[in-house]
Amino acid sequence: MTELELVVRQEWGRLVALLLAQFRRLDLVEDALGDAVEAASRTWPEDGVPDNPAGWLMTTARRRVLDRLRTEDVARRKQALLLTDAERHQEGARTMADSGALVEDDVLRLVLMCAHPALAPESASALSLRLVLGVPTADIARLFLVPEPTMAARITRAKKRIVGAGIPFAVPDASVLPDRLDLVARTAYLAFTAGYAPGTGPDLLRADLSGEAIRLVRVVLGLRPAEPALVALLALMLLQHSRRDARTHDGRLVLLADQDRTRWHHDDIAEATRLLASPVLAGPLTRPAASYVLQARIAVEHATAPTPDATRWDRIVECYDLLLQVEPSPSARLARAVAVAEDRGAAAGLDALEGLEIPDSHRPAAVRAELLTRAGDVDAARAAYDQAIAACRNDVERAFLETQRERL
Amino acid sequence: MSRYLILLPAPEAEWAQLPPEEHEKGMASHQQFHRDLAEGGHTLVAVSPLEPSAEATSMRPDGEGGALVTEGPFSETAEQVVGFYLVESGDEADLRAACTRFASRGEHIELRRLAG
Repeated sequence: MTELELVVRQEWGRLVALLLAQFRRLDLVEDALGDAVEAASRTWPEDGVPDNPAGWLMTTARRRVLDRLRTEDVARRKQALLLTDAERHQEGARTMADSGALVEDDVLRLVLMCAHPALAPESASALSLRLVLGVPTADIARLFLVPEPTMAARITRAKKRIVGAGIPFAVPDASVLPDRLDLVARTAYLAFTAGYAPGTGPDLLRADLSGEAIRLVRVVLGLRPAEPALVALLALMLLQHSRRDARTHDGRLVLLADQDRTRWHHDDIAEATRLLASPVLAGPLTRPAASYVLQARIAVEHATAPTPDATRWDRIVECYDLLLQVEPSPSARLARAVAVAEDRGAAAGLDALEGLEIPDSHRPAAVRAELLTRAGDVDAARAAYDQAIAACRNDVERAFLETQRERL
Repeated sequence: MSRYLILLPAPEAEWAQLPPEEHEKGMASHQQFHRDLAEGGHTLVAVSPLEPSAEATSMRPDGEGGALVTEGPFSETAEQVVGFYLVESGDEADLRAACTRFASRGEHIELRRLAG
């Protein structure tokens, strides 16, 4: 990674935040910073890297914004500005957080603006990756499996909505901040899971881009180190991400039980285990935070089992039972049924599946098919596979289901 | 003599939205219930409304020897216990009748006898 790439990676969000705080023009700031990076890519190799690379980018970007503002016609000059909290202008870029510690509040403002409840979740996710981390639009498009122009339009729309809907560049008061940080966590997790939603061909998984969502959580956690939802989510993401190199083979998905466990990233697993032991998770937790904790505990059971057979399915079922109390969802019920089948046999798993339906999902039928196969009920299994195949909209997964059906 | 716990589950969100006259009607109904208890010779041991369930803390074993402690009520249903009466009575039939009248005035009631 060049010096420029490194500084862009580390400083992008802070530079966007500082420029927004100064100019409040969401439509200009990102382009100006992009221009500055482009200028740096031309001049730094010849003139050498400046002593303060981030400062250089900031100065150059600021000059671009000023140029643009000067050439704007009167009509555009009346353009709506981003709302900011007035107090920041008095207190400057650094303010006291309620913990008493100094935080880089401008970056937190930026994060909270991007993950705002008035934005559609996918837009919030994309915008966070773009503005906070500087992930290229092409990569964000790849992550969410949409064409680049579609993603560019989505990001532009989201920016317009922020200005139009009066979403402020501000830190809300302490009574709503935990909920807003829960939403930041959900936004990051959406980006993360998008990378593991099966695509096709070389984009089967986009785990490298899921890594960017982890980076987003680390940035926010750097600002709010004691936020339980973020601590638990980071643990959960690290555990899932630790399997990235073992999850595909020759363009096909490899199931958990068949993965080469030596290819798991054990440093990630160790970090996640440390995070889960953090005192901030002793509670009380919000429901989303508790849900991340439980999902992470389940992932730890998988991550620390030396072989698939040694998996403590009984403990996994217990975690799912708790998860269903804390945050009931059909997908958690489905996952519990799978765990029950591993722990107590296919018949018990089929009982646990009873009455479970997830609209527009092939998964309940796919699991039922697998369990019926294990139970030896070939006819019923075939019917369940037919149902799953008909409902499946992903080529890779459908191919997998068709293979399973052939094997009956 | 037995003790009875009278739980009052209610759709919490709705109650806050109701106009003041509905709140007054509710209060009047509670006062009537107090009179019914006194007339029936039932002893009121304790009575209180509860703070909103959002202020509750729920704890459960986490399966690893610790506890999972979450904000909010145990289960997040629309109906939450918003108050209770603890009553001592030797006449369960009369207590039931008083509770039934209370319910017919608009209250949701769960009557439980204390075991043992």
